[in-house]
Amino acid sequence: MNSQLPNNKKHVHLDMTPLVDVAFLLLTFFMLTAQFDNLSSSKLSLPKSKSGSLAPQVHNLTINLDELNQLSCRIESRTLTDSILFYKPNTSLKITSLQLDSLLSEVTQRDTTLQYIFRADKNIPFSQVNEIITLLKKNKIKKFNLLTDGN
Amino acid sequence: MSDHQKLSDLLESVEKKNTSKRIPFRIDMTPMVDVAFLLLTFFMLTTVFKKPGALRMSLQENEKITTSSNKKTKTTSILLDENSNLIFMDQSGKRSIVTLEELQKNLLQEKSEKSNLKIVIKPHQKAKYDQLIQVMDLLEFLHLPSFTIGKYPESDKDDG
Repeated sequence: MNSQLPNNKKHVHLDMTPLVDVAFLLLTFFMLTAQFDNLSSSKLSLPKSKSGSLAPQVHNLTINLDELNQLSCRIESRTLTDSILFYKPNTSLKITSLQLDSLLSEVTQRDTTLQYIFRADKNIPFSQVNEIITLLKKNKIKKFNLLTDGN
Repeated sequence: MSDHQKLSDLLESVEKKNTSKRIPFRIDMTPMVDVAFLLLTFFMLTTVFKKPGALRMSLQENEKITTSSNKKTKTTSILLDENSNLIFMDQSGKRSIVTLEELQKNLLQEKSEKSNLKIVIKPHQKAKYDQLIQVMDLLEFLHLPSFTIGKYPESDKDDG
């Protein structure tokens, strides 16, 4: 009788093992799926679109144009790992349009399968966009992706 | 039989040795679990599942633009001016300021009249990239992928 009284302090041992197991499982899942985008450090809001396909995730060159008209680029590739001119793949680098031009001409010679992504802020004037498109055209890159905030 | 006896004896002795050496011990897992949960919440909150979309752009037909701008072939133009107005210019050259919805209606009408529609988007130098994407998105939505980007009529005098 005495032991059933509520004020009697009884040590309750709760088995937390399954809970912790699940927590670790979720943790590994989120850790493995997390993608840290180095480019997102530059302030940039993408234009919205309804249609459009998924952007290429691997083996690409991203040209970044942020709201302050700062150009940067990043090559994401498993095969292109040697440094190209002044640029080391899989890193982000702020560049000028002249540097971009020389980089593009070098890259197009080395790899023809690389996909190109243009990622620009939505408030960028067309003249800036046109400058990049002309650069791409000059280096005979005719197909590229315009990155949008799709649904 | 004797072999089997020996083996079971051996196993027994091993078991005894093991049980005698086993000391019950507990590790306090609380801090580790705390950290694990902290990391879990961090990754759950920072993960972005939505991947950015992309509008495919092909410049191959851009070569034709220089020839088609000679007004020999009739084109439908969409002008984007500096004040973010959309101006629709039909094949006869009539201009009208439209909203995105009206543009969609106009394009659908033109599409039903003529099967191989030639559309030229002509953004002003100061037009916003956002608007260009909106128009490109609309064309993609209407299954009119063969458009070109041309020069804004007046701006080529100003900007050279």
